[in-house]
Amino acid sequence: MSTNSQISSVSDIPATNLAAQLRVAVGSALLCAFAIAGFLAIYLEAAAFGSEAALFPHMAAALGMTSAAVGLAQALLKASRLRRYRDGSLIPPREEWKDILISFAGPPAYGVAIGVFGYWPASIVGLGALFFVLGERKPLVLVGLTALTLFVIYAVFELIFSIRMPGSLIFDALNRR
Amino acid sequence: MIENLWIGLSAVLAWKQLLIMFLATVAGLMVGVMPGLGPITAMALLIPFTFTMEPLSALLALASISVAANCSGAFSSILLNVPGETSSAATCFDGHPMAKQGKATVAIGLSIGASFFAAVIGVVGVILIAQPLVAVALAFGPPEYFALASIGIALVSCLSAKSVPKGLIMAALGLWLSSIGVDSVIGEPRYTFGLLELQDGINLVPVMVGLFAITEIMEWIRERGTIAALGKLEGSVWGGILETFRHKVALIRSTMVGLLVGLVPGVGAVAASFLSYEVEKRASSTPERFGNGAPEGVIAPEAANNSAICAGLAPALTLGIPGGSTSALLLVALAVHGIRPGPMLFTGQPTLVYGFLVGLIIGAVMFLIVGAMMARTLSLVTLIRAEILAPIFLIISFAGVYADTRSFVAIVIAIIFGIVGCLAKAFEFPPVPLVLGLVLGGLLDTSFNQSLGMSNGDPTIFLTRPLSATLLACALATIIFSIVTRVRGKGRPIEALSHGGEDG
Repeated sequence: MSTNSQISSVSDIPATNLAAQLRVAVGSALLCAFAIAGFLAIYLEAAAFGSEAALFPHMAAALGMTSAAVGLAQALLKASRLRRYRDGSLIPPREEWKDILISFAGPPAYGVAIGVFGYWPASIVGLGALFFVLGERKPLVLVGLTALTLFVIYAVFELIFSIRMPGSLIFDALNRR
Repeated sequence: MIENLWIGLSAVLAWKQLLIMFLATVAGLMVGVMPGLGPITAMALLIPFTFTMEPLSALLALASISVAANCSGAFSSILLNVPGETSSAATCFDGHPMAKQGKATVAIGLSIGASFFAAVIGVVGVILIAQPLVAVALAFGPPEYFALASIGIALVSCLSAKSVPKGLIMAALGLWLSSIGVDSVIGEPRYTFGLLELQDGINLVPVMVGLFAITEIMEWIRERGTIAALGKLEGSVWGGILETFRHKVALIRSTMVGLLVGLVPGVGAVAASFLSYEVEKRASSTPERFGNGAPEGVIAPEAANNSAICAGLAPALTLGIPGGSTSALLLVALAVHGIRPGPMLFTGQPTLVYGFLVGLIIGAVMFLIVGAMMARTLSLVTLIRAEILAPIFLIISFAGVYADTRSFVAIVIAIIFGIVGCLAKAFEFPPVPLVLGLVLGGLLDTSFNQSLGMSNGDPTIFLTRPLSATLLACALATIIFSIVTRVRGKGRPIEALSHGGEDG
């Protein structure tokens, strides 16, 4: 957010900065377009509610659609101004894909594991696996940190606050049968 | 009044009461820094323990835990860029950059100093203005509440975003999310798609944990390294506390903003923190420092946040109208002990009320000491490598999310909003308006329907009532002003492009 009073032409601005802004503009345009469609669906779905229940969702959807339309126009304008700075870097380099994959897949995979196996088994395996995948190889760190973290969580949540962590949803469903 | 204050002080300064307050302060601090837990969880967990206590002891315990949990919400904003409470979100803007510069202890010191000062002034304000407030608050009806909530949404959407349309998109999304579940007016299910789990609506905690904590964890995994870029801590917490009082003008101005805005039930602390941040930024002769670790950028939101929370007690104690979730739980605690809020509370039970208010000040002093003692230890988290911090924080976050509702659906919601948060961050959509929309959506919905009920369906009621019309005009003016100032800033398009383009 620093000001730069020395800029006198676009050529003074680092190209990487402008390319990054182009990426943001393109992504913003896509998200705004998606938002228009989403809010339209929300508006149409609300038509099935009673008149009093539909009022507020209609208002929210109208606000969302209007703002998204303006945002889309803004983003497209900006992207058209910056299009000459596309440098093929709209897609992240290959070496970053592994970390992107881990960051986007890790939390959902852990969440699924909690549902299938329960919190404690999922956390024992998940914590160790995440340490390993992120590059931590020392056994003492892997085992020790996992044990310490889970002990603290057990002490705080189950012993002090008496909050039992979730068990396996599948196991519970089978038991109920 | 002085005599009642002295009575309250005498009641509080007993070893038993001080010990209860100290333990509650430590508990509040530990709960406040954990993602998914906060002052509401802390107070809700404490209330059953207070059943067997004397009323004053119970209120002092609740006061201490809420002060500590509220103030320590800034710690996770500073250290991890994850607001412990919605009202601590603005503290991330300059607090976390300070942590990245290795000045986490200084930033925590600034937040502690600002919180302490604002809490003391806030309580004094409540003592002085609580009773005169009765007449003013009685003038507020559903149309005015609708207009007030609209101002809160407009303020945060415009001030927290580089682009006003992006802020409003996120606010609209939050408002829609708040409508999921059973309609509060006629009991009709909305957007539940037949799922029982959605009948109660979308809970705030998993959304906040997803948008902030999970998003941050995903970023740590991609960026690696430590939060403190240089790998070491600089400065001291007491240095930060003392520096707070070197910025006297910012401190006093932010506290006053919080006091005034916090008097408005339901809107207070979040809007106050963002408004005071923007006021200080505009008042500064070097606004470019904001967002890069300016001390005023930490002082302003924390002072406004804490004075607003204290100010929110005024309508709660005098009228039984909670200023926010914290005061709502306080009313629950009062009801448990057979105490009815109202205009007669101050004169009918002075020991209790003034003891509670004095207890808030002593709680603030205790937090100053305990928080300063623990600050350096907590700041060490900024020196932990992302490969270690990310998995641990992920496990703790999911535990915190589950603890709030005891439902696996909360974990699913947190994951979904983690992905939403990542996309929002990548393309500069601010997450805070979404959270505020979710928080204020219920108030907007209910007050809108009640207003139409009052006017037999005539929407002009919002314009024919002077107070409501004025407040709605302010909300509209906020949006228009924000757009105009940003468009004018684009008069120098080259600079606008180099800055990353503040759009209209």
